Amino acid sequence: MNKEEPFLKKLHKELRDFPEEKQKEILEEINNHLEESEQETLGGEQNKYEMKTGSPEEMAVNFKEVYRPRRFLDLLLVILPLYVLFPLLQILLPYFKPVSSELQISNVLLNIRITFLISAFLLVIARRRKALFLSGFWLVRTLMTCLTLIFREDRGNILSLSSLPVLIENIFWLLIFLLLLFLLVKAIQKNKNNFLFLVFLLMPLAVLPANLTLYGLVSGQSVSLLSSSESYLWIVLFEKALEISAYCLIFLGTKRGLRWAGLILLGTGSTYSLLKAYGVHVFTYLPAAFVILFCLLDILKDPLKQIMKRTG
Amino acid sequence: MGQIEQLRKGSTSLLILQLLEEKPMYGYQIMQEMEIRSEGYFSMTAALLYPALHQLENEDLLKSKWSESQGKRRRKYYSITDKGRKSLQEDTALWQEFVHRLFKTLRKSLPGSEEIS
Repeated sequence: MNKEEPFLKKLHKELRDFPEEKQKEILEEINNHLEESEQETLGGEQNKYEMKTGSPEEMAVNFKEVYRPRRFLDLLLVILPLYVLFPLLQILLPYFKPVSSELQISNVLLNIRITFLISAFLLVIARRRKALFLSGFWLVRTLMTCLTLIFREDRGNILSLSSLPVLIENIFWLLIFLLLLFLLVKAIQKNKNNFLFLVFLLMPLAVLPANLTLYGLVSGQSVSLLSSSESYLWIVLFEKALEISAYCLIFLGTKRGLRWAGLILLGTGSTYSLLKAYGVHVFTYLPAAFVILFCLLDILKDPLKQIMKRTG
Repeated sequence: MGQIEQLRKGSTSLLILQLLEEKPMYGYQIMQEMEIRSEGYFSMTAALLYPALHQLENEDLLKSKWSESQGKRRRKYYSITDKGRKSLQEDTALWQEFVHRLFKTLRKSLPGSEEIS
């Protein structure tokens, strides 16, 4: 396959969001078509492709319609659980007391388990829809919830032999964790050239240590910069609005630039309330900086490859 | 998009399924066959055809297979599934009904059929 062919080059660029296997398959099929239609050229190279083939941009838009249908549904499958379902769960938590007492577990543990089940269910839906970003989103969240279940403070030593049922449960969660980790590594490997997806996938994992570090650094501060808890509430609401806008750009955006903008917004939004509460700190800007760095790498990836090829 | 273009786009699936009902074909072959049979009326660009083929495959109306032949480039052949045949029958009936009703409403006769009063 001649990847240098202008049509294929443009098409390849437009399909960067697609899984690598699907890209290869489409490009090979279109390459075959172009080679077959070479016999029927009607003038200059540009005419040949545009008249019988259409433009690569048009083809890419049509393929995106096929493989990213109902993007709005993907967005809803993120926003509704995150900003409606899980907060509702928190509010209803006190009413779970009879259930948690019956199961002899704390309300918090019950909440985390329900969160895990919902996240895992949404992961299954996302994989069935073959929605790359949605699958990545719920894969990471399910993994992080699983980690929370394994490393809870009240659990103690996770491989303790003091109680057999607890040990069996711990092993069960460890196995689930390993399975999710395997899926994560597989997703990273399959999409290693898709920086947009990789950053989206790994952002929560990058934000978490940043947040924990920041909490550790500022926890000694006895006075918050905010005048009241009411102003903190408005700031948190604004932060959530930033996050929702970011997800809209990421899931609904058809242009790569828009989706990168969404990621930068997400990186900023995820630590906005900390910034307002505790002032400027390097870790507050770490997630956004992480995104901007990879965005620049994504933009410069192809030109750098060209330069390296020429210099041999 | 003009009315005729909309109609053409709407009949894409039907045309593809009909051609593949006769025999498996690859993309370029489908395009050629469509153009020959319609005497150039249905001339689809690759930008429309290939996504349409992928969409039909996603809907399980078609299936595809890469052919391997020594010394030649491999081709992706599409063939119709049972679900595709069923869909073709239903869509053909719908279009026949549509055209019949349209001309009846316009009180014109279809070429080769009886006068509709």
